[in-house]
Amino acid sequence: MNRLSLPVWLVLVIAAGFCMFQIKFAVQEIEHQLGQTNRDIARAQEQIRVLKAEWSYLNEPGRLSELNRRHLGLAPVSAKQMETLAALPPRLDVALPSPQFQPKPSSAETASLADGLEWSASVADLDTAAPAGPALSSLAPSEFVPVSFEPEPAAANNAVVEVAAKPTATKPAAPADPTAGSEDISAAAAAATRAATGPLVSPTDDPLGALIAATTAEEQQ
Amino acid sequence: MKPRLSRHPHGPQLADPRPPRFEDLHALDGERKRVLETGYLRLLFGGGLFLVAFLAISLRLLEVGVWDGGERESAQTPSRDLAVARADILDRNGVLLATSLATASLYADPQQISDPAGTAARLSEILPELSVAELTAKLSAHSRFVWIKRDLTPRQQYAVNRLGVPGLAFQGEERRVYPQGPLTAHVVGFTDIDNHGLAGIEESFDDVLKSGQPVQLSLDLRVQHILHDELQRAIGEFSAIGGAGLVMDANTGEILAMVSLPDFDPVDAGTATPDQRFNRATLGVYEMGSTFKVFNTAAALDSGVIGINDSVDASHPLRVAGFTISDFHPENRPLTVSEVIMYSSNIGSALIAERIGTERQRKFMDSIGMLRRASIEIPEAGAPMYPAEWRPINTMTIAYGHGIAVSALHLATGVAAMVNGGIMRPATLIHRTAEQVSDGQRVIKAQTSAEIRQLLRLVVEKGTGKKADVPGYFVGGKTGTADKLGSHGYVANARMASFVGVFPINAPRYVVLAMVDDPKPNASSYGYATGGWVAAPAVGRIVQRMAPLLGIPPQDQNETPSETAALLVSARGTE
Repeated sequence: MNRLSLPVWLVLVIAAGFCMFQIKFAVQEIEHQLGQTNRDIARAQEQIRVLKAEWSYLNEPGRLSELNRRHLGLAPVSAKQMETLAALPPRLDVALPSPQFQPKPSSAETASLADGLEWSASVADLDTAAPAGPALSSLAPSEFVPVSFEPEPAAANNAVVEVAAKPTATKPAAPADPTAGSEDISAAAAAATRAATGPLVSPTDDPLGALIAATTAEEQQ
Repeated sequence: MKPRLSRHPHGPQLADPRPPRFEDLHALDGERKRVLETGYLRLLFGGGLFLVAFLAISLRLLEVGVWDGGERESAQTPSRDLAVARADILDRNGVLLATSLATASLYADPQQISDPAGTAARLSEILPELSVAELTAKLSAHSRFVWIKRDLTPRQQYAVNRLGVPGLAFQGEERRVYPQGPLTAHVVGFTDIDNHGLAGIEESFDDVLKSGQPVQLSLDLRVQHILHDELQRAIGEFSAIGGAGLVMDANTGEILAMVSLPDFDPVDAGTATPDQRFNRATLGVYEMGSTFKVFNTAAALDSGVIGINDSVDASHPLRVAGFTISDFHPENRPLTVSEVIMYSSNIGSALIAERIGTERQRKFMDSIGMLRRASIEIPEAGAPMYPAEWRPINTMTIAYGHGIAVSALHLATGVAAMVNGGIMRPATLIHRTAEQVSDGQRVIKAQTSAEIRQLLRLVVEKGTGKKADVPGYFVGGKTGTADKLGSHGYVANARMASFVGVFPINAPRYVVLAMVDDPKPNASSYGYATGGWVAAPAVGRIVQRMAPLLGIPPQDQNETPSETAALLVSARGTE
């Protein structure tokens, strides 16, 4: 027992010393990091101060007004340009219907996905001179959504995705939605289509489309 | 005593057939014991010394190894605590008006510089504003420390470092920066190179700023710019020598904008002329002229000595104590109180003041702060000048703003009290929340205040202040044109044209004051350089530009507030 105690103690002392130095070095490292971080914070704060000062300097009103004079020519708002909400004459005689359905978030996602696909597809198609109708009309469906909004909106988008996925198809695969066809995507044409197709949609099926149709009809009068 | 066999027990034995007995060997007789004890003692002493030495070494080892020798990593934490840097000054929307940036200042230890002339030549290439001769003198001085230049740009610092000259070193410093340049120079003030406030808020809030606490002013930088811009324009248009302006919240006393022109760049305050540094808005006291008729009329209406539709005889100039009081636009007929204000009649005002009486007028002027230094947070506050002995002739001239000189701040604060329902609140440059607004002191009745508002609207609608009218915003106000006092009485053809506007007049929010110092008449003003031609259009433009920014809805021009309409009828009736 006595003979063993010395080596045991020795081992313990060495182990304790080893652990102590291990921890000590770890702490040193952390303290070093702390110091480094503190210095980084100080530097960042200093930079923020400089940037704030620069931001204020660049936003000095005299400078802004000079820039405005040179590039924009904006004038202060005059009283004539302002009107209270109460003073506005009633504009719509159609009562706003309560929204009956919410666009599904998944459909928005598929739409954006479709846009991405469409874009690459149409670029690829440009030099093949293939009837690129379905591909080039890629922007049209998004414009037509208000009018052609049907109780199942995902269907139209799915169809677009399908078309986009097969850009080499020579026959313009008839899209499920007739209004999402290969019209010109110019705003005038879109408005014309909207005006033409608007009244066809029954108000009960498509309240939003009906509303737009009503307002466009009103404008034409 | 036994015979000694040997001096040493283990020493070479002498011829002795008998082995020594243990007792003999170890018997501690006197000498033996003494020798042994000496040996032990020496051993003990030496051992003790070693023990102490080893202990000291181990302790030191422990101290160094385990406790880091008592030296923490303090050297690695930032030496400069940014929280105690001189704090920022902000406007009411939090836009930076003054801040501190870390810079480096270059100094030299001339003892270490071997070649002063060469170093000076190379330094002056980097810092061209320093002359070689001066630098050489500095660098060959006998001291151990000379400043070469304070606040170097980072580029200059890099260039100096690249020289690699021993004896040149940098001292980290803080530099005050004013991102808005001259725009708020008179309010914010400036500091010296050691960051002690020397003027404006920098001076009066020196301790607060040094303790690291930011100061938020009541200024609105956008309004400040508009005021500055329009004053500058009026000064340019009429070749004036200066100007001052104020925009004040009529209900809280907060100053949204305060401009004094000409101004200076606070970074270069040392090179500014005294005229540029002079704060015309708070420190300069001037005879305000006709704008004082507002106070005169308010005092009269409030004390009941005259009613708003009562008349005074302004048909001919007044001769009092050798003075002649006459009108600039003589109507030569009896005028009602509203017409006196509308046509800015000196005669009428003097007659009204006569009814108020000297003592009552003095008390009234005192109550609206015209006889005290204005209470404002910046040290540049002018003391008013007024007659030590208030005689009847003083009463009559003070009625139309002559014989009393106050600052623009006095005037705006007083007018705010006249229109906001009659509550006098001290002006402040510090942002106030709704709870912090002082209760103020009632100086006139709410009814009188309402009448004053009607009169001020009348001036803009029908009287001398038509040029201040802005469609959509009901501006009320009063023009003022005062002759400037020189060292020998009034200076001919040197005026102070002013206009104090209030809008919207039916529920006053802001008081706008513009003063133009010594405007020259020009063709566009048909030879006039009066408040109505010089300052009133400026106030109109200021209102037009600031009202949409501050979210004040325009009102329908056709729906004239009924109170003014009634007054208009009464005024028209006498026309």
